[in-house]
Amino acid sequence: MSEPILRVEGLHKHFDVKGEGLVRRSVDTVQAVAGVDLELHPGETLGVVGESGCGKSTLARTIVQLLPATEGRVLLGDRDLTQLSRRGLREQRRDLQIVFQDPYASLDPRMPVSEIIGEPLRIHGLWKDAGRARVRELVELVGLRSQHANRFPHEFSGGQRQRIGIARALALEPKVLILDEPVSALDVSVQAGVINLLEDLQRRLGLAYVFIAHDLSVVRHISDRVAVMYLGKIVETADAADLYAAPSHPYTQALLSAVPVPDPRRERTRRRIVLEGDVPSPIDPPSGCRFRTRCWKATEKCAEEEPALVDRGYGHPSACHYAEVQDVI
Amino acid sequence: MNEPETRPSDVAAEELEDRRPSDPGVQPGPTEEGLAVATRSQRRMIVRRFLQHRLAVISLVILVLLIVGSLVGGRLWRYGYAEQLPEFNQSPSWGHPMGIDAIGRDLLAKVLRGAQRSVQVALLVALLSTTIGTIVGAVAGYYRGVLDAVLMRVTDLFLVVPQLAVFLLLARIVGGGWFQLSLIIAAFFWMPIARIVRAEFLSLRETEYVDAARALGAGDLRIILRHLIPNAIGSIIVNASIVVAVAILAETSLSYLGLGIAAPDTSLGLLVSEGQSAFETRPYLFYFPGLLIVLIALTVNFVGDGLRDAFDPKQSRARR
Amino acid sequence: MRPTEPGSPVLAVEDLVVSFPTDDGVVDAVRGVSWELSPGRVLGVVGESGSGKSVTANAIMGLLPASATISGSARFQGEELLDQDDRELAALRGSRLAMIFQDPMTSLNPVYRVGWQISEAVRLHDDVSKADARGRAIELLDLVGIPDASERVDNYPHELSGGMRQRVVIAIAMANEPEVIIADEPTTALDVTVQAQVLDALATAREAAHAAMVLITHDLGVVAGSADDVVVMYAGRAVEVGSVDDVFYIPRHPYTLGLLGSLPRMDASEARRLTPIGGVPPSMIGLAERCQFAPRCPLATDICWTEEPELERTEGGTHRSACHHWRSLRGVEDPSEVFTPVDVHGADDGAGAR
Repeated sequence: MSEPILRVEGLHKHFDVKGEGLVRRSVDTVQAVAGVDLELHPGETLGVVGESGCGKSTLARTIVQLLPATEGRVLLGDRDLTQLSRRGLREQRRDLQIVFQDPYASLDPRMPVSEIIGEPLRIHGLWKDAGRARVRELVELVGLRSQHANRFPHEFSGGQRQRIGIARALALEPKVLILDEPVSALDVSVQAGVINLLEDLQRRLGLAYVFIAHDLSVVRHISDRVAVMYLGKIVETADAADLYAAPSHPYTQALLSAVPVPDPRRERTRRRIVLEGDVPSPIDPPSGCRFRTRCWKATEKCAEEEPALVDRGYGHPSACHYAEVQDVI
Repeated sequence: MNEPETRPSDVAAEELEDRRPSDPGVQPGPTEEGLAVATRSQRRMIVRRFLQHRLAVISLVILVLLIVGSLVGGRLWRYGYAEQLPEFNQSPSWGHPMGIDAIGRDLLAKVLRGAQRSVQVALLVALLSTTIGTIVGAVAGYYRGVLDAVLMRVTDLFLVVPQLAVFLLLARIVGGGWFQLSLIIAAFFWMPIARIVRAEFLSLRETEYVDAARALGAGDLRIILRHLIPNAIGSIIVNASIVVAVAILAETSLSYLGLGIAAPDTSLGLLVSEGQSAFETRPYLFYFPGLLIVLIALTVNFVGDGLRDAFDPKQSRARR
Repeated sequence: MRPTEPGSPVLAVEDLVVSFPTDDGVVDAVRGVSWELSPGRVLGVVGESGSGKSVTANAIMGLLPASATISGSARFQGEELLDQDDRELAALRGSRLAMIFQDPMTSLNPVYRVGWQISEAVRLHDDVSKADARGRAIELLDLVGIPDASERVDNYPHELSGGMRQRVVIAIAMANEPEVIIADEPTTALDVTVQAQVLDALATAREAAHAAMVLITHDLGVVAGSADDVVVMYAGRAVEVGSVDDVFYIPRHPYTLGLLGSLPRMDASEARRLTPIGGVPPSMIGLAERCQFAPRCPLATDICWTEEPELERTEGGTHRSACHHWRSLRGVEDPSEVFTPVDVHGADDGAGAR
């Protein structure tokens, strides 16, 4: 296995909740990302799944340094992004880019598409020689027609706008792309086109993806490895096939069992794990294992000792004292 | 024939299918617009949208005529504004469409000159105050924190100062030239723009496309100039046009009070002041400059409306 | 419960047509939809945005704006709904005919406790004491799986999570033992584990009241797991109708096939290339006389461009399809046989024709 191109080590991102009153001192802390370790190898896709509130979007933004990390390191190659100055960071942006979720909000409504895609080139001084040609190339690369490049974002459909966002992210020829829910806001039949595009681009350009999503089917389809997030922590990481066929962490099992598949016979015979209760608040997470308040296996040990994310005998890391494989699909 | 459909969306029906695009697992918003057939450049689209606003177009025509007339007309008209003729106190006639005043000066010449001065002052005031206000508002709204607090307190200070008293003081010190007058007026007109720009920036800086620009490595200046200001330009322009209208009124008021432009130069306000004593016997001395003031202010306002609508690319249909 | 002839549908929609005037012209949101809901069964209405599925439900319940033009028939237990006025419909709504919407936050009144809102629903249609109504409210909360129901009954909506709120909405819907429930995208905005809880609650409640249900959604997985029969809608019409097994295993309309092929599968052991449907759904203004799916359909021929197909029986039973070429889909095992999986100039235009 080659060296990882992106490594996240002990990443924390906390937000202060300010109190009311004249002097708005911090009263609480939201632990959106509470100690995440990840590894991404060149050319692979690491899927990160979780439900709302698990911190995956915050994770995406913290990795690309849109949010300053509270603690931890983000290593691109051998450079720690959290320690770089603004200028130093700008250099690194050529290798690490991000695609956002909302195709309607992530493009400046007042800029024509050619400007939007060309902006990274201008910022990094690459516009002069053949900037225009490069923009045309990128537009075609994502499956749009270059004669439409003078139009504005609102003239395009959601799927097309997402393609524009992808073209923009690719302008600087990055090695790693962080994709924050890139197809969640699209209609199902349009999603497929964008997913196919992402797969094609990965093959052609040798890109590595961190693909963040809540849709387990999409993640299964596109990922080589998958990490499951809950309340700011990773609870299980495995090769995609392993994770889906033989999940060992109870939350992963509950998550997978909750996803309906478009196969009526299978749905009729599936065993559903229905979780009790709600997701606890990230301001005051449960002690020990954060999942214990909804877990059917929880014991006292779970409240006292936080389970480490280590191999529990199934070939991949799982953060549960009682990890046990179960097929839930 | 496998051509895709190219019509705008069915908003009414889709309103019932409306879902928010930013929630995970939620379908996108209502508009799924196909691509229009003709290629349009950005500039052409703005112009097209402006032209759809009839009142603004008419006002623009009138305004341009007024401005050109005031700038050029003075030279073309056979009488100078300070030229004294043998006749005096004549009502409007063919030779003197606006009449002649008490000391033998042709009123049309004076009105043209007055209009020129008023317009000059108004435009300069608008330019200066918009620039200052935008810079202050942008810096405050973008950087927030201490800088914002300080700038806003300065703005408040300017707002609180009694304007007329300060005008009086400064006018005495600085003198009656139109340029100096513009500076003084501008010093009290930038605050509303600063507030508005700051408010816009506070919300715009949180948008995802600004995040995207940061993620690409854009610096603060680029974000402010290329992303935030263009998206705030609608408000800025509307406000600038209001400033023009109000500045004309301010200048005319000051000149009327004798604090602004002084003889031998003239302004519409000065003309109104001179003409008011003869209001009942020779109303033309009062009405011509007065109505012109009103006309300029109105047309500027409507043009501002039209400009604001033209700059908003989300509007794709003519308004009812 | 009013007795009906055994076997007759509890809710029957026939040739429903709905249109709205807009600035751009008249929008034909629903263009002749017919389906039947049998007692005790769940009918899944599936379609993407713009297909008209929600408009259909709103038309049946009389919730459309006054500017809408509605024609056709919607019969509830034999009674025609479309010519009843709002007062008559109000007597039905919430008692015999219940509706659940997507966003629980707007369905619930934020200033009243949830227990009160359930009791309200009960007392609106039934003459019971406040105490009895409250008891029923606690019972219902328990039924839909809300823990500590006797305490939760006094909570305000904002004190509950999204999933719990939706379950309260279900409780309100079930309060008067409706005969039919119409659920319009009840789980779309919810996380998947919460969705499971809500669907579970819905199934439990439905069984307890012996109600039939119309489940409107864009999620084919939800339909596969919850529905007995399916209506697939596209561009304001039903393009395929049948039992859930029929529609999912032997689809007879290319849109259904394409939809199934464009879904990434969690249960897939082999990495499959997705087959997207090229193009976008048509604008619903001024539709031409043709099959509306033709611009995106790999099977389209001349007749498809000139004549809009009607729903006709396919292999017998209740399976019907509105496609001139449904027979070509016999024996098709995989969507990639019909839709090319290649997406180079996807660009949302042009059909991926073979």
